Amino acid sequence: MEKIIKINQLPLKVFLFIVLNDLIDTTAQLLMKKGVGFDDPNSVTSFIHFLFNFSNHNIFYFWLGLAVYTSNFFLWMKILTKIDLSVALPLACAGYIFIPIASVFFLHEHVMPLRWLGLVLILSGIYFISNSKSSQVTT
Amino acid sequence: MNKALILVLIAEFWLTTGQICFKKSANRLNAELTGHKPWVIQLLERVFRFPTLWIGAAAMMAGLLTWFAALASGQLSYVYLLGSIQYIFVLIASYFFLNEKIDNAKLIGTLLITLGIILTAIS
Repeated sequence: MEKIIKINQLPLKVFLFIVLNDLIDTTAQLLMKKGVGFDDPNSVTSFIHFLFNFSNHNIFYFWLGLAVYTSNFFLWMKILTKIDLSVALPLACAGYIFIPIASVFFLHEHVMPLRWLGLVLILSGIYFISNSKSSQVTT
Repeated sequence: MNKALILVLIAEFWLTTGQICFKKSANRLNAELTGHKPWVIQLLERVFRFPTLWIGAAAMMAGLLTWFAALASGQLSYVYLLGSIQYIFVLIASYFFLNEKIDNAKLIGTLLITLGIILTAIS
């Protein structure tokens, strides 16, 4: 049974689903990054060779990360059955918030002040979109 | 640099197509959902019946591969900066292909997020 209602605010449950989706996504990306060990592959083919080189044990982190990433598809579909894509996708950018914070705590990377400003802009964007009054929500 | 720009645009085209197809599948699933079975089972039962799921998955894979190629060709932060255009692509595509409405809050929010990602990418 499909029931579409107009709402003034994003339901908390759906918002929490999206936050969970972002957390899983961030975990997957950190695992993949730990497995690969570098950001900048030299070429796509050498990158693919690198991924299948199982004598490098760290590469299992990459495959674990990819598995987590793929399984996140089900949660994403659940979210898409609830709200507009144009609401869900920008909200799912919260990875841009979690990744710098996670990099500070787990990878001990430095975060520049301009990046914190970017994070504030992203957070206010999330606030605006969650209050969009034209969103359709299916219950 | 221009090679990276073209690759990012192709990648974002495929990723947007994938998202639109997934959302179309979700809408169709919504119309057929019943309360009797777990939601995941109902999704899995339809995997073979919904072509949009397969087209979406193929488009996502094409997008990810092109994205890797973009990362390999250009400077990393430049590619991430360009990648923020996805939010604008999806906003426009969901208006035309999914009949989703755009209001000021959605427009301002999407632009703020895009700008925020550009700032985090250049720093």
